[in-house]
Amino acid sequence: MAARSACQNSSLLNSFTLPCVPFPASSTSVSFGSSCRANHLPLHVTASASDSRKAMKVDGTVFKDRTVLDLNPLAKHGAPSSVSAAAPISVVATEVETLPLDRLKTGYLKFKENYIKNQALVKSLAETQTPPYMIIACADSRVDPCTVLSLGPGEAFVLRNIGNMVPPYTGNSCSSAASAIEYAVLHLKVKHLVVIGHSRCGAIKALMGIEEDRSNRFSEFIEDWILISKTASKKVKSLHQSAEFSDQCTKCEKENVNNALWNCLSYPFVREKMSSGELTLHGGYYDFVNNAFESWSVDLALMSKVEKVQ
Amino acid sequence: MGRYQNEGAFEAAVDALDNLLTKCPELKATAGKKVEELVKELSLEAKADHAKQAVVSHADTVDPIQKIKKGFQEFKAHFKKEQTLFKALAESQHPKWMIIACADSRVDPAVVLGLELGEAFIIRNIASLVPPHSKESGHSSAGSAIEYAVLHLKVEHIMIIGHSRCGGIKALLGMKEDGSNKFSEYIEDWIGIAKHASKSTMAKCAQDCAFEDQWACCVKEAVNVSLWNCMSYPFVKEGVQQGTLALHGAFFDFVNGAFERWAINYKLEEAEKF
Repeated sequence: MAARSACQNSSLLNSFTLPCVPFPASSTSVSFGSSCRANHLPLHVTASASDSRKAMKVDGTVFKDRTVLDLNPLAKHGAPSSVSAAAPISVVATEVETLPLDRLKTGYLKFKENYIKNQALVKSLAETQTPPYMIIACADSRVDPCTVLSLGPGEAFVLRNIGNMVPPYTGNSCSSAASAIEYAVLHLKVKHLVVIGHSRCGAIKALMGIEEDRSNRFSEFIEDWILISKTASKKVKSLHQSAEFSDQCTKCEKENVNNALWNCLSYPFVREKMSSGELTLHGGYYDFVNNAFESWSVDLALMSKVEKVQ
Repeated sequence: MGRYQNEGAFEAAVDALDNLLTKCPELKATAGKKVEELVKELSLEAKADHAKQAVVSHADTVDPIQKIKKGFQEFKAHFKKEQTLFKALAESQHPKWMIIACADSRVDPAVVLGLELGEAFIIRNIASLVPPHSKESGHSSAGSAIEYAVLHLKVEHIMIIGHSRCGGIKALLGMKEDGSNKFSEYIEDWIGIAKHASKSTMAKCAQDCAFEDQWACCVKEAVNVSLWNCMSYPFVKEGVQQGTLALHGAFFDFVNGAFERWAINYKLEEAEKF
């Protein structure tokens, strides 16, 4: 690992620049060629005769690119007479469509080139993962935690949702956060659970804008989700009434992290692991306006004092 | 179990084998093959344990907060280099992609696909699942994220990425219909979203199919279940029909170093009069 950081260049994408080791022949018997064909979508369609997508072969890996139907997003539900007019548009559409995919392909091949250089890591991760961290972060495209904190494959089990929120323990089934925390804490046995909030969070801004009487409802799901943190917004509004709205939002972004941490503690298995010293909880805040990051830890002793008073 | 208790058990097993082979020497060939397999299996386990210990002991020796502090310092250098990009991002985000990926530490989509910050709105949960649209659920992490991405950020693509050796899908394959072997409080209720993937995998894979193949097949079937569940959200269906939104499934295989992508498309043809 020390060698890794010494070799690390400034490009984030090349996190594992180690001396090149040839990629060994795979010893597993999985053959994706045959299993790929079996995995058509359950929709019965007549596949288009001409498949304009070719399979890309790079370094012996076939990068498969299949569509069940020709992707033709600008096709109009039109009469046959519009076909000739539509044809040039659909050609352009296909070209535009492939550019975002080409971007992913290039990114993946670059990642792979570096990843396979570290054979020990590749082999070990193929067998199992033992991340020391679980991170709960926002889905915002600007705050990918592994990018921001330079974490590589195998280092952090990551849950991401709108507003990096954790609903409290209710015994209610079908919760992405609860299942992920249970898995991380009891099965992966992570040692550190970190909730990371961030600047200019759209979810927090929306939360702070929700009227008491919910009269300005604008969404089907978003508000029900972000109201998980309504106590955070209430607290900030009452303690900082005269502050600028943007300052209030910043305070709420941090208060929301504390609210999520508090909700984590409402899970019995989290409290158990914290009491036994096997798990520590941390809050974090990434400010991409000022390029700064702060973190704080949760003191269970303090928490249990609060509980007793109540 | 005490240390000597373990060794005693091993000695006893070897003695029993010795006795059996003395009585029935014709079994030696079979026994030899099985011992060979056992040695292979145990060597893999030993390697994995060793590697695991290497990772774990590294985590023990480095202060975890120091590690992420250092990680952020490294990132800061990149941030300073890309001033224009990050100034623009500070104001607003306009990602073209929404990616739904597993929380597994080995499959961070930004790392695996070499994405720069600002390119993809990413949600991650166990087994990259999307539950179907439902008006009655109290709060939905996936629903709220998809609504925000499609209606507010106006992403152009949604990609759901499954991966090799997914623990969530392995648990799904092991789940009994009657729930008699339930081991968790929340995990199985969550992965039950993809229970039809388990059924269709059983239907697709032959009886003698290797578990590794079944596992991979089930991961891809689960991705398809989630893709169709995405389509159950009216705003997703509208986007796909209007051609403003494309849905993709993908499978990242970190065992063999491969990445596959497939698409879902949906087009209503004009009614034809008979």
